[in-house]
Parts: sequence; C-alpha cells; structure tokens
Amino acid sequence: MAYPYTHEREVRVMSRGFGDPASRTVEGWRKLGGYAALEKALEMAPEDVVEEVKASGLRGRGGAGFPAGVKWSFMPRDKQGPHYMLVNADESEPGAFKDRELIRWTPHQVIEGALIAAHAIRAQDVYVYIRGEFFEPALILGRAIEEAYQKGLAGSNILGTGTDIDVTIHLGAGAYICGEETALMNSLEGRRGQPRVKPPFPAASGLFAAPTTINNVETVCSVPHIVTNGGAWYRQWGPEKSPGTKLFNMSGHVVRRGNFELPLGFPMDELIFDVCGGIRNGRKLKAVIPGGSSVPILTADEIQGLACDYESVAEAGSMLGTASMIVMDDQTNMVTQVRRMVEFYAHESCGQCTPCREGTGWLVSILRRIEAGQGTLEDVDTLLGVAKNVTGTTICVLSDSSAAPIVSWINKFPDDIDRLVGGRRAGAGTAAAGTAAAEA
Amino acid sequence: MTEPGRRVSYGKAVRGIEAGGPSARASRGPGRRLDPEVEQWLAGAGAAFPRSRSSLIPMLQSAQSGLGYLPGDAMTAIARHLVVSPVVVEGVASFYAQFRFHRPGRHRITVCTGTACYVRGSGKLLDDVQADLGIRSGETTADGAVSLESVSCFGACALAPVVVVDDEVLRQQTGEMVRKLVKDLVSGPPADGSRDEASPTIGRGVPG
Ligand SMILES: Cc1cc2nc3c(=O)[nH]c(=O)nc-3n(C[C@H](O)[C@H](O)[C@H](O)COP(=O)(O)O)c2cc1C
Ligand code: SF4
Ligand code: FES
Repeated sequence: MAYPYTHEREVRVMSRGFGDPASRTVEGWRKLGGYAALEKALEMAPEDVVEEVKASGLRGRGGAGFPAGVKWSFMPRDKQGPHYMLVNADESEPGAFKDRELIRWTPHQVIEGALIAAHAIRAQDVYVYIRGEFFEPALILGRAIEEAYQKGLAGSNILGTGTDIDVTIHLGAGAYICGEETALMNSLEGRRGQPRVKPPFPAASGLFAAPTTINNVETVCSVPHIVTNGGAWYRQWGPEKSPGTKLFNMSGHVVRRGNFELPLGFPMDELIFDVCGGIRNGRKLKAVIPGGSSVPILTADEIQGLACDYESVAEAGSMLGTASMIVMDDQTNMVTQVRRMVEFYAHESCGQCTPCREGTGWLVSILRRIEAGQGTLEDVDTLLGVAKNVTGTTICVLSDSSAAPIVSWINKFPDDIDRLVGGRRAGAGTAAAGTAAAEA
Repeated sequence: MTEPGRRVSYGKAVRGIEAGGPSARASRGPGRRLDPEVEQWLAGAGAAFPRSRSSLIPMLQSAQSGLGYLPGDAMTAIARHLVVSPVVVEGVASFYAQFRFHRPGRHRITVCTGTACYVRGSGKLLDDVQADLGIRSGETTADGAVSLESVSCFGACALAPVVVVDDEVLRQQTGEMVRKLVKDLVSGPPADGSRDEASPTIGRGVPG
C-alpha cells in the first residue's frame, strides 16, 4: 500500500518520493531533481557549502537540534589526516520511525546528502550506521549505493570532479545506546558501544581519533534541498530559530498514524486533531509524548496552541526531540506506560555510570510496586529522589531520559498517584509543584 | 595489591593454562581444531575480512548469519583471525542484543514492546503468544520450531502493534493472528530469508 493519504497542509520536501518505488533508483531520484545538488556542491568550495547550510538555519534532527552548519564549521580546515562523515541511522527510540522511511523510499536522498556533507567537511569516507533490525532498509540502501558507484556518483572521481568519497554501511547489532554519537563510534571501531567522555568532541577526535562529523539521517536528507534552492529558500518555513520542514512521526491512539512532513512551528493540537484526524473511537486525549519516549510528557491542556518547534516545546517543559509523538487517549494506564519506558532505559543502560546502571533498576522496581498497587506515598518521593540523582550526573543523557517520563507523570497526573497510592503529595497538581519537584 | 615479584594465583583453570596442562589445550590452546562447520565458515566468508579490530562486529554478524548463532568456536575463530584474545570477542558479542549464543528455532517471532506498540496492547499480545507457545520471550520451543523474542521499537510504530516473523514486518497484530501464523509456520517450510521486501509500508493514515 503506497502512501494513500497526504494531508493538504503537508509540505513535501524530503518525503516527495515516499510511496513510489521508482525513487529508489538513480533515474527516479534524478526525476525528482536528485543529484543536481551534489553536482552543484562539488563545484563549490567546502566552506561555501558550510555557509549555505549555516544560512538555512537547519538544525539537527537526531534529537538535540544543534545547528548543522555550525557543527560542520568545527571541522579543521587544513586536512592533515582522514576526516569521517557518519550518518546516524540507529533510530531506536520508541516512537521514532522517520529515518527508516527516508532510507526505504529515498535511499539516494540519504546518499546525496551524505556526500555533500562529506565534501563540506573534507571527508573521504561516509559510514552509515544502520541499526541491525533494519535489514530491509539496509538492503535497499545497499543496492542504491551499488548503483551510485556504477554511475560514478560515489567512489573515486565523483562526476568527474576529482573528488573521492567512499560510502559504507555498517549494521548495528541491537543496542539502543549505539545511537549516542560516541557510542556509535566505539561500535564502528569494533568495541562495546559505550559512550565516551566529552571533550574531546568528535570534530577534534572522533572515529579512530580523527576529526569526525555525525548527523542524523533526516538532517542529511534536508541538505540537498538547501544546496539546490539556497538557505534563504529553506527559511520560508518555520520560525526564525527553527526553520524548515520536519517529518512528524505520529503513533499511538490517533485516527491516522504515520509520517507527515510539515513546517516547524505547526500547532500541535491541529497536528493531532486535524492532520491525524483526532483520537480514535471518539475518545479524549490524555497525554502526548512529543519527541520520542525520552522526553517529558505533555497533558492535553498543555498542547493547546503549542507550536511544534524546538524553542516552544522546550518552553512548555518538554522537548521536540525527533518529533516522534506518541499520543495517548484517556483510557491509557499511565503507570504501566511509564514503567515500560523506564524498563527500556534500564535494559539499555550500557552500565558505565553507577547512577544510570543502578538508578534505572531501582526506578523500575519502585514503579512495578506502585503499578501492583503496593506503593506508598513515600515510594513516590523515593522515585523523585532517584530521578533527580540520575539526572545530569552521567556520561550521556540516557539516564536523564529514564527520569523524564517519571517526573512529568508524577507532577502532571496527581489523580493517578492518588488512585495508586491513596494520597496526594503536598501541593501536587499545581504549577508550583512541578518546579518544586524538579528542584527537590 | 600484590607485592612486586610475587606470583598471583588465579585459581585452578588459569594454573592449568600456565602449566600448559590438558584443560588449556582442550579449550583454548592455539592449535586446537575447531568445529568443522566453523572452520568452513572461517575459510570462506570469514577469511575475506581485513584483520583489523573494526572487522569484529561484521565478522560476528557474518558468523551468526552463516551458522545461525555464535557457538564458542566461532568466537575463537574470529579471535584467531583478528589476533586478539577470545575474551575480547566474547566481551563485544555479549554487549549486543542481537547476538545469540544458542541455536535458535527454525522460525523467529519478535514482538515489539516499545512504547508506541505498548500503548496499542503489545503487552497483552506478548502474554498471549507466550501462553500459546508455552515459552517465555528469549526461549525456543522444545521441538526447535519457534524462538520468541521481544524488541523495544522496531521503527515502524505507525503499524503498532508490530510483530516481526523471520524478518518480515507484520502490522497491527493480535494474539489470534499470531496463533494462526505460528500454526502455518510450523507446518510450512523453514524460513528462506528471501522475504526481505515483503514488509508493509508505513503509509500515511494507517487506520487507527
Ligand atoms: C541515548 C542516546 C541515543 C541516541 N540515539 C540516536 C539515534 O538513534 N539517532 C540519531 O540520529 N541520534 C541519536 N542520538 C543523538 C546523537 O548522539 C547525535 O546527537 C545525533 O546523531 C547528531 O545528529 P544531528 O546533529 O543531525 O541531530 C542519541 C543520543 C543519545 C544520548
Ligand atoms: S548514562 Fe547510562 S547509558 Fe549513558 S554512558 Fe552512563 S551508563 Fe552508559
Ligand atoms: S514501538 Fe513498536 S515499532 Fe516502535
């Protein structure tokens, strides 16, 4: 079934080829305007490409939203040894399913974007790190790379310009933490996928201790369009600080689930109630996880009129992250969902940091007790205490991620706590309680 | 802390190795013959890998896809090829969830229990499948027909709840559907690994 539904408010830039198997070939991708950007970029000086991407204001789509052009400008200009361009296709966060679609439908978009990025940072190698579960996307991308080599679009002397860039796929082996950039580098080097202490940052010392840039699949896919049309063109969408279009991955209890490409800043309530057709079975909205399972939960009230861009969602106390939204209706048992999310992080902890390794385990035990109806008000305080201790104390933010759903749930759904432990924390359910708990 | 110059005792097994005793030769000695199937893999696919540390994970993947799982000998073979200690290979292999150290069933069923699937009832689905097969996630049925696994998000959340059967992604599954599927699988031919393109598209507007 090819993409049967496109909402009229969508702006299809990256997703134009979705649903059409022809766009998986070089010919099909060229028909959509593909590889023109690569030709153009290879004629440009690397720093001019960086400037164009900087001008577009494109922000990283892998979660943190760091400006892509700025990241590229950290790479040394005088190349003294190898440079590496890494494409992060480890997409493993529950709720996220955009990179898989970009790779499956438009593999040449990924290749083209990665080659342009590699040229901009003077890398001679691109490694695409795809999670091991993505056997089909990896196969499709592998075929596309093969074809790109045959047609002189990758490898040595690309398009006769004298530029050499190799593209290689590396399959992950089932570890969520390998999506963290330095863990991914360790994994590529044949090690356990454990995050490294930063600094040094990848631009100084990344893969094999060489200057390295890493970007998410969707970031890379935005690049060819910016190079072709210019940074100013890209800014026609979205607010000043969050320009461009973004894939919104909608799942959970909405009527229409799937990927929708929309300008950043699109109102969240309209996204859920108009684009996605509202909540299924005529039920009411209870909660939204706006950016993959690692960000604080928002309530139905909080999403009213909320603009889906990095700043606005942060101001509302959560994060846009990957814009992977899990929508929950009023029948959702939140404690069960929160427990499941935290179990995930406990399971995926790489074990290097004590607060994360031990703390996530304790969080799960306490949540299970509360879920079974055997929790007390004191358990709720313990949860908040442990959550605080696993936040900001570790090498990477996986451990912070385990705390976010818990803290937001406890603060925003006091009725749940009431029902489960038969009591209410002092001041719970007020705006002040949220801050107090965060500082407690 | 040990005083300088003083020998440390690591226990029986290690003393055996130090002494070149029988346990050393039998388990890890450099000249030991490996399982013929492993030798065959190493001579074929395995030998093609460059002898560098970054070949480690691709070699583990190649061995697993050739042999179905990673017997101890496969890791020893990889260690020999890369000239590292077998402990290094085992340490890396055990970190990653996709590596299996036991022979899997002829078919593999993976239930997604990531949050987007969990809110759509995959917890109960997994319970149902476990009850049906009489095994827990991570186990294989006694007849060796089916291994059951769970994964936290398959990157196809719009199709929730997602079940993956022998590398084929199935959408919106129920306990009933999986039961029927298992029946057909067990009576049908073994997986041939050629169904990689059969997985459904994450369309816009998958019906809720
Ligand atoms: C625990 C953890 C998991 C992550 N997983 C991913 C992932 O699967 N894909 C991804 O692109 N970025 C992931 N990231 C973010 C990366 O570390 C990195 O910031 C990103 O790939 C940079 O790309 P961008 O600047 O284009 O967004 C993860 C970060 C953490 C802490
Ligand atoms: S926070 Fe957790 S996952 Fe991240 S490095 Fe520390 S132990 Fe590993
Ligand atoms: S949570 Fe099941 S596929 Fe994402």
